[in-house]
Amino acid sequence: MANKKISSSDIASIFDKKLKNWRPQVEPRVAGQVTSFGDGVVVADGLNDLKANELVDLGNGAMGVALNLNESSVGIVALDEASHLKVGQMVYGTGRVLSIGVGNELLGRVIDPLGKPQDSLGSYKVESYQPLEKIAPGVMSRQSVDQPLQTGIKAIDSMIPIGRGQRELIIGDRGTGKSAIALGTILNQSDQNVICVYVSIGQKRSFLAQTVALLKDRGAMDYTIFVNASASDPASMQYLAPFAGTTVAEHFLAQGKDVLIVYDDLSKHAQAYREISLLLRRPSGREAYPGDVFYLHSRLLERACRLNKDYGGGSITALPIIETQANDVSAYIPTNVISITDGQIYLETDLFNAGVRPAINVGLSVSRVGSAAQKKAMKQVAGPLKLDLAQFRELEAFAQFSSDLDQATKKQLDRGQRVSSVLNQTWDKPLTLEKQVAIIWAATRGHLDGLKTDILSEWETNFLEYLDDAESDLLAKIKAQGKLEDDDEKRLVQIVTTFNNLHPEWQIVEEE
Amino acid sequence: MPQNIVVTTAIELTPEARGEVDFAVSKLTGESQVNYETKVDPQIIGGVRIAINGRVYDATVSAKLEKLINQ
Repeated sequence: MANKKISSSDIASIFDKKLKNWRPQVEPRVAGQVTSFGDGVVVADGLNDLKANELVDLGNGAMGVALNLNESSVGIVALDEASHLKVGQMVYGTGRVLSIGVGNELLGRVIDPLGKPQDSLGSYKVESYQPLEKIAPGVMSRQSVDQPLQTGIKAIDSMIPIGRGQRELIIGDRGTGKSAIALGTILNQSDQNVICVYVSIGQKRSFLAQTVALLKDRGAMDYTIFVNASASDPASMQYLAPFAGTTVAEHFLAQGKDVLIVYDDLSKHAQAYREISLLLRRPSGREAYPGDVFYLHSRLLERACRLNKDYGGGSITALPIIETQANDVSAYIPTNVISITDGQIYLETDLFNAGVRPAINVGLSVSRVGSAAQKKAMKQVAGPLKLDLAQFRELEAFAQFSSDLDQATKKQLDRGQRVSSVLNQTWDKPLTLEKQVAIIWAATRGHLDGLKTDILSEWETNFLEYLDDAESDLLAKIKAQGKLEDDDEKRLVQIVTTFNNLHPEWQIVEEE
Repeated sequence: MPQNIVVTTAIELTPEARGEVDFAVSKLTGESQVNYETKVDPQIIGGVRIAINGRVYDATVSAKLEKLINQ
């Protein structure tokens, strides 16, 4: 097009023409009048035909959700500041139920529960608007969980294995490494064909910024979506965040993909819901939580499932996180969520302080899906591992008297110590299945019994390097066939013995 | 069913304007006889707003201006 100079009169005539042809439609709207407004809750009368959970236009671009429908008034929770609202102002129903725009372009983005981007990267292409509240898939569309979700954490993948489509709770006091386990799992999904959704509820924004930066650094943002409602966001947003995250996950589930969703954490979610319910004057129950706080979490977690082939064969694995106070797992919210999930990973402060990281209490942690979701190779080495650890735990009290014990008990204690320390792992260094199998195999077959206990982490790092350099074909073989054949085990014996002989300084020198 | 109908205009209704409003309201409610309350609110600048039982048909100039601004 030629560079024509457009004069101001031209612009005026263009506007004129547009205005003359503008015929706005008059559509009927359901209207109500605000009778009270305080603490984020708007009470309006009128609004006769409103549906539950319908979006209400509060004017000036502010929106609210109708949560309490009474005979002559409606209780609306404002979704943002809405500081312009005055008593007597008209508010209008929108006819839309609360929904979020979803699309494949969401990968790598940070959004709020209504789909607004929070990472200054512009808007994303919306493929469809999906409601936040959805009924979970029915019984006949599901399939049992039989594929593993590799967390990359030895203690979990061996003894508390998680399958795709399972709900596994991560529970513990503050500062025990719950978020670290979830993030470590996300980092391990880079080659697993799993999309990750991290829902951050009531967290510090600084923590979120750090986490996003870390994932970006490790290339994990390519397959991760963040849904964020931080501590300074209104309680209504914190209440909606997990549902928004699940709706986003379901978009990928419908395409037959596997999704991992982390809810960090549901304790703050329950607190936000308690806040809203009390402001809406709903009756309170135990610990001042509303009566339906169980239903709040059960309807959320039931949407995590494994679908059968007819419905795409995808899955959503949920890792909800609950924070306990003083290790009290019998408090209201923890017991609720424990009864909903298919198992829990129980983290203890005592173990954390004693240097066991991840601080997982293997005795109290359980995965109800168990070995149905484990590759054969891992099943082969995990059995003796569990046994060694269980026997070690029984004898632990006698560890202080180790010089006064008989040979068999001492041997058990030595083995147990080495096996437990082999399970220690830094949270952001996930291990592949083959490497985990190799290390656990070496520990349970007694190849570490002759080594000093303080060099064990060094042993592990060097052994893994050695495997990568000299024996990567064996690792590839284990990965491909998914199990350990007899000659694989023979080769492993050779490899470990050769490696140990390379480092005589690590051997315990027996005093004759 | 008794209906609560409120008609808001910017200035007092003239008799012929009243006739037009009668016609519009009876069309919207489907009834031949219509009783409604009238309100005068200069803030709407012009046009008419008809509220029937909480359903609002807003054809006021102020609403059209707002729609234009928000577009």
